[in-house]
Amino acid sequence: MNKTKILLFIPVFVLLGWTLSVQAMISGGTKLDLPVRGYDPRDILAGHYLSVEVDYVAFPSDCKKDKETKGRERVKDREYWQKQDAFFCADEGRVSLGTPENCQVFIKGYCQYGRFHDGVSRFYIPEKMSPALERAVRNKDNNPMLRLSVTPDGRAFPTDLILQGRPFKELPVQALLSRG
Amino acid sequence: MPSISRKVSVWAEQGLISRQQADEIVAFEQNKKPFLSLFTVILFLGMFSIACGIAAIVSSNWYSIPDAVKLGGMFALLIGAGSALPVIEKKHPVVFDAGLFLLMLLFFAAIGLVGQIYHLKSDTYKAFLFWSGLAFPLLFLTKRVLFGCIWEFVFVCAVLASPLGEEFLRFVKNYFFSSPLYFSFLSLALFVVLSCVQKAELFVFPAKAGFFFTGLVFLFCSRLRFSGVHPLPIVFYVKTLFLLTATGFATFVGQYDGFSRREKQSLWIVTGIYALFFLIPLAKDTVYFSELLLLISFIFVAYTFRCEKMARVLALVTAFRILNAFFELFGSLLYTGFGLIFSGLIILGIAYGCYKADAYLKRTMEGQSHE
Repeated sequence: MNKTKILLFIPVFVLLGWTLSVQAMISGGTKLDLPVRGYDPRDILAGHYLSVEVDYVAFPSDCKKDKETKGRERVKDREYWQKQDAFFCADEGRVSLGTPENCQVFIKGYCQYGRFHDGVSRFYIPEKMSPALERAVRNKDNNPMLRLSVTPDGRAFPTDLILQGRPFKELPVQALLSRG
Repeated sequence: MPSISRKVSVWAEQGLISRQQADEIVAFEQNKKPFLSLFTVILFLGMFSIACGIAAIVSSNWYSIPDAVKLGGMFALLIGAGSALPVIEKKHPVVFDAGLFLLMLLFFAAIGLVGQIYHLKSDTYKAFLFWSGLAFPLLFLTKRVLFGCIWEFVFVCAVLASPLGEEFLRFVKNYFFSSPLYFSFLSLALFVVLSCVQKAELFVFPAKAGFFFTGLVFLFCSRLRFSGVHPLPIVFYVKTLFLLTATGFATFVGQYDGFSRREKQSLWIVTGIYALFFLIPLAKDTVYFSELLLLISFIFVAYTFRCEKMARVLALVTAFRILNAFFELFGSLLYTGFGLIFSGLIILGIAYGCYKADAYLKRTMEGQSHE
């Protein structure tokens, strides 16, 4: 195999390996449905996507302690604005600080400004459906949820958007518009 | 073809080439396969139309296409390109380079596609760094400097956008405002050092161009050192750094065998001028003279090294800098008729001065080459 072929195929194989590794992580992860809130910005490079965040407000969280004690007191050990390692334990349904122990399924992230951030924030959608989906996600009656695939090391990948208990692609657009 | 025949006839009449050579040149040009012929133009239009049609169908049905088909199609395209390019590498080098460029674009598309299909969120700089890693091997397959320029531009921007890059920029900003002159000298010193590197032109040329450009930019920002109060430790630190850099550069110039005595002297003179203006206290309003003197010294160095193109570029930059200073001082004159005439006369005077200086330097350099 000559030098040209080798140099041309190295990046192709690297891309292929990366894609397969992402696919393997998502396929082998634990499926988890969590409530979301979202809005719809536009990214010129990445195409149309919903910017969604899992709504961890409903879950008990150690992150909130930072916010509650903030007031006029200065928190000496950790500043409110600083990132702190945290994780969401799906078994207990709780956000805790530090590293996970005795938790089978967890999502790694950090606490900042009194909230838990898990690094999941994009879900790509068809451009034509974006206005309807944006309204549908904002409407609590649709019970919007994000289906995640969670790897054993705590990384979460969004795999589907669930509305009214079903994947959004299974719903007719009119149903979304009427509910939205 | 008529144009080459005419030119060749004129050369033969002037005695530059013989009549036989003229005929051989015309015959050679006639036998060359033209890149653009009626057939290739029609072929290109047809292929372009098909490609647009495929792109339109794919994009309008994008979300109906299963993810596996999208990924399969993308990798089929990549593998197809990787297989086809080696075949045309020797026969059609220009088409090969165009294919390499398209392959680099395909890498961008592939990264975006995988990110879209798997809903990956990542910082933009990571995507560009990943692309830089993928495209790097392709740089060894071409000699076109343009590829190196594109790759280095993307790579440097990605690194500067990273957390490490942000730290570096913060560091530069803290020290830059106390000494843009130091960064100007450092950039130009690195430009000279890289000019001594004969290999890896693909990587060296863009870096050289970048250092040359930043050297001039920092020079024109030298009045910014007078904005704000700078802590003494920083001022002392930068002065020490400058002395060390200047000493190192002067030593390198002295040791390097590739420079003639005149060339070494010209570089030492520029270093000396930088040191002079770095160490003596200048006021904000007089820093312009240091810029002008340094620009003139750059022109002198360029002519010493027989880089006429660079000397002309620098002369143009100097002329614009003079004009800029003139209009800063006398800009209000442009509102009057006499002011416009006066400004026009100044511009003509500068142009005449540049013409004379250019002719003088050329004569001087020709005289040196005969020695």
